Amino acid sequence: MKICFICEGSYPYVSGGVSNWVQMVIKAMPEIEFVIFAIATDREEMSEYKCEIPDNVKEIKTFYLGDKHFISGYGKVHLTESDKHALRNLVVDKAENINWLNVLEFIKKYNKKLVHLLMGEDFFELVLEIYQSEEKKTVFNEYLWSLRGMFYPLMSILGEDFPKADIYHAVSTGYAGIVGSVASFINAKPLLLSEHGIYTREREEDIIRSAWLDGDFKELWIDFFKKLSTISYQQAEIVTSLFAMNQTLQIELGCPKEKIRIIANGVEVEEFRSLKPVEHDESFHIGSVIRVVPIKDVKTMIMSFYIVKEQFPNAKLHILGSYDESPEYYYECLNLVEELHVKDVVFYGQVSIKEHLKKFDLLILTSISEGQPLAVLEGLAAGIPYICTNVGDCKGLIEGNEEDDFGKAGYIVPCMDAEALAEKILQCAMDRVRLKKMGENGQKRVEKYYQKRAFLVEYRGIYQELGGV
Amino acid sequence: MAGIGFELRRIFKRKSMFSAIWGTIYATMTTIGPTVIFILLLFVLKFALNFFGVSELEKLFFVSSFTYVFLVAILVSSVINTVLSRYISDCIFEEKEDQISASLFGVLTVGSVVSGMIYLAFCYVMYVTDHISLILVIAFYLLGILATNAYNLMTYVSAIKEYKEVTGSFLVGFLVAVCTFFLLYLNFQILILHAIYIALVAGFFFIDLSLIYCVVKAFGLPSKEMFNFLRYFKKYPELMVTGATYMLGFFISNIIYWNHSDMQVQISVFKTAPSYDLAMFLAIIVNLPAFVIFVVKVETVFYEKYVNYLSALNKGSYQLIEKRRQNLQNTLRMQLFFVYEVQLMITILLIYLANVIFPYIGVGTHVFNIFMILAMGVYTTICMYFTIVFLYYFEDYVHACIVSFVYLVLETSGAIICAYIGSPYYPLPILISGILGWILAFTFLRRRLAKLNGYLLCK
Repeated sequence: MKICFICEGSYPYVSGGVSNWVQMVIKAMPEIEFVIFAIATDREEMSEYKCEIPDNVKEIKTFYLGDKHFISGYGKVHLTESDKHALRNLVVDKAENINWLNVLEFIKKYNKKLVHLLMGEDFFELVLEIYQSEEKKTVFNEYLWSLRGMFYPLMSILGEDFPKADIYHAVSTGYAGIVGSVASFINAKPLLLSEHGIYTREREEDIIRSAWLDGDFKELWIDFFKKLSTISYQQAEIVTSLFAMNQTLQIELGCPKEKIRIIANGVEVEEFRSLKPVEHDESFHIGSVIRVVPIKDVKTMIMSFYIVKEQFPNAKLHILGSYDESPEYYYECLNLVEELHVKDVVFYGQVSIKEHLKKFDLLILTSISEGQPLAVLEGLAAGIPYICTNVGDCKGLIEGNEEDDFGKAGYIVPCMDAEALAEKILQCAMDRVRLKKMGENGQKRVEKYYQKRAFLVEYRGIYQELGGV
Repeated sequence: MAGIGFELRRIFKRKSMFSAIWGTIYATMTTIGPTVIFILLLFVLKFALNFFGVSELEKLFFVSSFTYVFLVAILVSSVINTVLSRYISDCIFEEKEDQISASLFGVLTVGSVVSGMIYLAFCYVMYVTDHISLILVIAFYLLGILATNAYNLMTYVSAIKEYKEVTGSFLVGFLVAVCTFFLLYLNFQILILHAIYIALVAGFFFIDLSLIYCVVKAFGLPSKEMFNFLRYFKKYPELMVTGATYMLGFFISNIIYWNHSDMQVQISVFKTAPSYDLAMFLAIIVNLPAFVIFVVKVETVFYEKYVNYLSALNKGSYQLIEKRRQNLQNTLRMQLFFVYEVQLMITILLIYLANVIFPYIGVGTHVFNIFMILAMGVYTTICMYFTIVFLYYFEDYVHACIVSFVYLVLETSGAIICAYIGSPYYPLPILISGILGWILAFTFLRRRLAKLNGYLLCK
């Protein structure tokens, strides 16, 4: 049996939760052959594998979105009336009106000519229709090229030859989801869609915050990603979600409820429980297992530590996670540390978490967006309490769901609120007894609900169901 | 062609009677100056041949061989020139002007080699079979190559704006030819046909040199990429076919009647149809004003609207683009119809005048009858050509190619049929194919204009 994992901006080029998750699944199923269709942005930034590739990964095909540029000499493509209708449906219509089967049929038919279509008069007419319907007064040429630019990466990637597999497993919607959908449609093989975060919502937040996009285009881009999600949800046989809240969002975004299965992440609890505590001085050691990228909001973490440090000079902050993904942001963080004259902040880069975990009294997570972070599960499994921002399923992990009465395993604070975070850190530092109790609560919760073997059993079951292993 | 537009606008703006006359003379001399001088040269030659009592046989030989020289030159250069125009425009746009100078020498080489091979075939028959003197054969060969190069050089000349210098070069070349002739014939008592041919070689040699100097002066010293322009033949084969088929179509009836008609006359290797050729020559002359009107209209009105439209296309809202497109379309329609109408009146008027004048200059009724239809045929063909030029402007090369190809096919088949039917119908093919080609070209142009925004933004 061969499974094709379709990963966008993650495995095997970017370290992080999704990559670790994929690696975990692959390693746990040595009897299955895997091929990876990796969607990366830039060849320079994403050329090295960030993990050891298991033997059962037989092929890694990488598509670099940044490699593709408009060239001259595109041929004319003549569309039939029904094909024009399908193209119109994809380009002009809102996500909720997408006729996904027609669109997939269209993509299959024009596979290698999709990019050519963007330079054709049919696409021009559609853009003009959008432009006129919205009564725009902006420079039309720029508007046209913006829309071509929007669809260009999509059309380029859909013109690729996808690896043959028995099951296509996309680990997000977006480009990965649509690639999975098209590959599954063309090869008549099932698609499994696993969402960690909610891609469409994450893009929506990115787009709203982005400075490089004009207001006019923000809505178009948001709807563009919604369309991709809609098609993926419709084409997928099974959609997995990490927790109930995400399931609700998926349904809101058009995913049929009956397709969704909630499968929580899991960790090998024993591996973390058995870690030997590291002896350390009287200082209060705060750890954060986090990639140094803007979405993790490391700056808020530094500012809150600055507040903590004023009242608790013995505190130390250890940031574990790669910082080469966004060097610019990393330098901004270093500058902030320097400007605030805050001492005892150490950036470790990519290191073995297990080696360092036990020296921390407290772990913190300041992310703006998360799913169900493996880092939090690992920390809790090691018996270390966590303070997390209120994103993804962090609240569920820290405070427990309705049926669980283990008690709090830490605190939840609002996003981007350095003072609230500092206040909770100080509470923890002052009350070591409670801190210990919270650590135990977390460990029990993970042990009961977030076991690695449980989620692997679920996925193995789905693979069997879809591919007949 | 933007250069003379400014000058013309300046002249016409004065709005006096004098400025109107001066503007017309200026426009005439700058647009068709070389052609006018060339026609003048032909009349001088005709006068010289009569004045110095040249025998009818020698006259016929000269006229026939001279016709072949220029027909080969025109046809060879027509294969090169349309593609070359595009290459030159692109080099100017990309600011690679040194490549223009380099291509000039490449074009001269290619033109000389290709036309040289054709002329060599004629020379072989002239010398080996008909025992024509070596001097005359060599002069024929050299004149052919120089004429081909002169036609090719004219393409470069249209890209530089020094029309006055170019017309001046032709004028001086003309004088050089006349002086050389008198020097050789009167002082050295060389045979008159030899003297004429050598004089023409000297004149065209001077013209070619002057034009090369003008081009190098305008575009700078050449780079080493002499044959870079050849890749444009692969890139734009439609342009090559359009240029070649249009020109071949224009003269194909002559070629067919030279070989299969009761007008046919042969001397040495040269077959001609003197009555038809003369009628054709006169028909071209009466339609020359159209070129002046066309350039003046394109330069002074259309060009400006086109630039405005392109500017909107790059930086305007769609409403503005559409407004400018409609403006462009209306202007184009008005200007084209202006050329069509004015030239129609001129052609009819000149046909009427020809009826009066021809008997005085020794042109018979037979020639006049052919001339009447041919003048209208050339008129429709030129109208078709102007419409094709706008298809070039809007990069509709495929349809331009279809039009000229259809024109060639219609004219060829028509001329073959008429060659068998006989005398009264000889000039009809050019008229019929001209009308049909014109209608076809205009239909394509209308269609392109209607969807111009989409086309240009989807290139």
